[in-house]
Amino acid sequence: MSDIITVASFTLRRYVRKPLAIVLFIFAPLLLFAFISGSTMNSFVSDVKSVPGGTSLVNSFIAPEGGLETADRECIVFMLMTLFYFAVLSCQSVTGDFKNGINTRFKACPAGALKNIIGKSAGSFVLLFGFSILNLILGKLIFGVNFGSNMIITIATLFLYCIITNSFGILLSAFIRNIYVCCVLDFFINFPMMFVVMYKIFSPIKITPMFSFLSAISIHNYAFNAIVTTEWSALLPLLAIAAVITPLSLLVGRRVLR
Amino acid sequence: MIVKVNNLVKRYKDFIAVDNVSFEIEKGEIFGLLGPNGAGKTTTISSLAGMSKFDGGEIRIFDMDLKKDEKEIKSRIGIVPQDIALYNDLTAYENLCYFGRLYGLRGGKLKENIEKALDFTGLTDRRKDYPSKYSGGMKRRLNIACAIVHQPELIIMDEPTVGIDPQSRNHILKSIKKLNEEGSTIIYTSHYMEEVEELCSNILIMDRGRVIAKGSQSQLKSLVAVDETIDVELSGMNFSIVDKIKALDGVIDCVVDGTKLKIVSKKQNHMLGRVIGIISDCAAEIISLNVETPNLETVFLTLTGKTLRN
Ligand SMILES: Nc1ncnc2c1ncn2[C@@H]1O[C@H](COP(=O)(O)OP(=O)(O)OP(=O)(O)O)[C@@H](O)[C@H]1O
Ligand SMILES: [Mg+2]
Repeated sequence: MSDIITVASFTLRRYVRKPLAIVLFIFAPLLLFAFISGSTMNSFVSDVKSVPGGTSLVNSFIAPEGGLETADRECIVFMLMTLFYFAVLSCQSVTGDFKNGINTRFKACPAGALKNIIGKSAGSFVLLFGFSILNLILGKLIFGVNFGSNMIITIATLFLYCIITNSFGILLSAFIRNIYVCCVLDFFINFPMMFVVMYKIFSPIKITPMFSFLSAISIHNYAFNAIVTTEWSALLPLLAIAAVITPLSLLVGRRVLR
Repeated sequence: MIVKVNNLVKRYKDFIAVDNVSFEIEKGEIFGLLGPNGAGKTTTISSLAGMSKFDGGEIRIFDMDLKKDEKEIKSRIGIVPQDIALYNDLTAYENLCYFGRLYGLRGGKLKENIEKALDFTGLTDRRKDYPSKYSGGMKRRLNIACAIVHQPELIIMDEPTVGIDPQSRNHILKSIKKLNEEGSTIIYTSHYMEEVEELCSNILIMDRGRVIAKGSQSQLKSLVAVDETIDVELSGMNFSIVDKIKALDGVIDCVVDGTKLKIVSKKQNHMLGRVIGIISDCAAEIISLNVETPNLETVFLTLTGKTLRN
């Protein structure tokens, strides 16, 4: 256990030493919050018409979900998007050790590869979850974003979501040991997962089967639903994903570091 | 016997990097592992330190089987990797703290050992600096410090002096001797035969994954027939000198190159005196003279037909 704490604390310490990354991680979501809060007025443009057949377009796409306004829902999606992108943190903790040769040295240590990977994963998770809470607080204080009516569910959702993205980062870096490729891939996976949720916020039009498949595999979608519906049962899919991806990432990570 | 390696085999797919290597290391010695690029030194060491799995043979360290008691053995070994392995975003002190903790050191003992390692490598006044601000030689020294912070009984050094200035090299060589005097057994890998000759009591020479020769320095040197090479430069070449020298008892070869002579001979008493006698008899003047006794380089050259640093 103490080896894991050593690895985790030094992983964390090394991240905190990178002020540029920290500033970016804190300000990127805030910038998006500012952009969204400043761009929507929650009233409707005058030329929104109803579709032929009498259904009102307005009613179908602004129906507030869980008491959240459109801007709030967008902010939630953007927060999820940035947090998913921060999976590069855990990627870096693994790929960095290959690059600077520490992995060679670690292999000679009595502490095994499993402890190493658990420590790295834990260290990055603490930072990632810390960021998510900070985003929550700053978003609320500065821009008055409503992050759901049940804060405990919101925080529990972010907790599970961060576990998943963090493990995803470990998994990604275990297969692709190059931080640049990891960053690009993370972005390309992040975007469609985020986009399906965004689409649902904006468009009243029924989505295609392809899109609904994407929505079914989108972690962002599950996290968004949990925050918006404020139902404990909405956390179950996230819990299930976390229960699979976390041990998987640790096992694969151990194989790679050994 | 602190290390006993029996028929070690390590393959990379079809390529055999270490081929049936066996050797033994006594407690308290500095054991040299010598060989050219790609000989299999790093691969052998990685297997020894439990860093990579091996395909055949047996390794016993501290009278324990490496496969069975890996953890216990690892905690008593320190390894200096060939490539510098340091965190550039942790200070020298923090790097030492990290590795010290990974070897189970805590509290006062950890601090004390870090101070010792810093002092030992001459980095005490640069402890708060990041390795990225270090010179190449200082990085190498910190690389060593990280390996000795837990005061291991067996220290394995993989080319610790590659690419550094003479000052840092001397510092490193001195500290290796000091570590040895303080009781550590050391495995020293290099392709600089001068270093191995200076440091090591017993030596293993490898090439292409195989053991070429092993033994003490004098044992290795006795393997080669050549005992002495005399290089003489004369003011003018007189071929009767060459004939007379060739006729001397014990001379293996005498090669002429312009006004230079290279005489290869078996170790004979007064060979140099007899050669000088012949030259002065012929009224030739000696401009320069150099006598070389065989070194590991000659041993390697004789055994493999190539130089160590090809
Ligand atoms: N991971 C690997 N995969 C495949 N082949 C490898 C690997 N590591 C080493 N080899 C091969 O094994 C052989 C021995 O390599 P090794 O690194 O042990 O040599 P060395 O004696 O340490 O050389 P050097 O003096 O250059 O450090 C080389 O031919 C090398 O190409
Ligand atoms: Mg090597």
